[in-house]
Amino acid sequence: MHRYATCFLLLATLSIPALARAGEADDLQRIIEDNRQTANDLERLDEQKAAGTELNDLRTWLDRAWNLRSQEKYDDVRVITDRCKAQADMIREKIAAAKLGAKAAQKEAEVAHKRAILDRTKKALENAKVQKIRLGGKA
Amino acid sequence: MSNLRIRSFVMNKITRGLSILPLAATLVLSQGCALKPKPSELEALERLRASPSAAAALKLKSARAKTAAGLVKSSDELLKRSQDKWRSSDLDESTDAALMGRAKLMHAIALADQDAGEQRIRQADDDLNDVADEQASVQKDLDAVNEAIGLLNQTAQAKEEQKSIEAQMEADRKLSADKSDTAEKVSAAELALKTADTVQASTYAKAEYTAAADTLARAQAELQQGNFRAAQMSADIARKKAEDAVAAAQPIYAEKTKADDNRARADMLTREASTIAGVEVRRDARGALQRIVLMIPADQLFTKKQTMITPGRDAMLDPIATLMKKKEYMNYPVQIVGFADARGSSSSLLALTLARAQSVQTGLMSRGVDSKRVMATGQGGAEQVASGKDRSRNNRIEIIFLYQ
Repeated sequence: MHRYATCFLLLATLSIPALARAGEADDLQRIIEDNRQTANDLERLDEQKAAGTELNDLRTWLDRAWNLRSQEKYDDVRVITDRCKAQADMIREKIAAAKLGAKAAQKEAEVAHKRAILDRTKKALENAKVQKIRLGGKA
Repeated sequence: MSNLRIRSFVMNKITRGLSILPLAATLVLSQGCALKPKPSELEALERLRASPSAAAALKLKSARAKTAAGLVKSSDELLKRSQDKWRSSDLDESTDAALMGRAKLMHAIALADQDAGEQRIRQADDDLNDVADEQASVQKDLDAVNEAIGLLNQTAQAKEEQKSIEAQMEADRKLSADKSDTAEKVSAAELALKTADTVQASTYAKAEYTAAADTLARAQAELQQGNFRAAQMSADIARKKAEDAVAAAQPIYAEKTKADDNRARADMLTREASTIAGVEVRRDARGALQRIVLMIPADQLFTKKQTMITPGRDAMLDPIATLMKKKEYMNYPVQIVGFADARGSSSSLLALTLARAQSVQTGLMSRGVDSKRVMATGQGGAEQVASGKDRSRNNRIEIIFLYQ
């Protein structure tokens, strides 16, 4: 009986690292897939196409991470996934900045448009004043 | 032995080792000093860190400033680590650190860009407000000026309309005046033509009258057509022609009228004279001179050879004197001519007849006849009117009314 218990414990002890490694692979796979999904979401958000290069980099790195995971180089994978997270955060902010820039550009265009209207109105006012004087009115 | 060989071998090695130590050290140092090429990721991070964008990320004043500063700090640490790893020839680590640092630095820059974007939006909003305010002000001014222009235009238009109306009124007035003048001139021409009618110019100045009538008709037609200028000219011509016709016809007409009057008066005088008892009336002419001759047998006034009117016989002079004094016949010059039978001396007959004529003249003058109208002559035995047993009729007094 003791002999069986001992064997079981030995087997269990031997199987713990293998199980742990399997869990890490799954965990990294989930992280990589989450990052892929994040990349897709960010691409949809990137209406201004401001982060195309960065998204390409992100996907390249995820592919590399996937390869490294397949090679069970989990530490290297974690380095890359950490970088991917930072890259995704950066991309999110860059997209937000691009949206703000686009909104600013839109507002500036609106300002330019209004200024053009204002300039035309001023010109019209000048012309009207000239016309008024020509008609005998005071300046 | 064995230990000795081993020791000898070791010492030999050490000795050789010491002999090659400088060379090895040189090799190690040269290996250490010969840096591998800098990873492009590190170079990119260094460039990015040196860029104005990275500097701007450290100058934020918004809520993102702390986060951005933290990211830049973290990026700087990763940059340093990347550089260290590169120097230690750990290129993979260097690259990983550089990539991570770049991500963080770009994150910080993105935050700075967001700040810049928000700042631009705020500025644009402010500008929009300013522009809207200015637009409202300028538009208000423009509206006011346009309103003034509208009023000025209305005033100008009213003035133009007033001018137009005045011009129209002036034209109407002128037209009316022209029409009136023309009608007046046509009336004048018509009057002139009627005047011409009164002197029978159509008969006595036919060419002028016809020309005047035709021209007047043309003037009337032109007046109807509103061609006043031409109508005025035609009317003037018609009037002139009519006046010419009058001028040409009037003397003829006057002469004719006078002749007609004289004839009528003479007829009347003849009729009235014929009613006087004892008077024989005849009419004749001597050249252009017309004569009404009241022949009174001498025996009705005178006894034989006498030159004075026999008392009681002068009554027949009364109606003759009355006739001569009538207004209608006041202008007739009158000859009282005595005639006698041609038997006897002519001188005595002339004297007799003259004396008898003067007696009649005196008798008439005593009845109020103007002596200046009356001339008495004796013709003796001239102009015998009878012979034979009627020859006594040659003794006579002729009271002759003369006219042309």
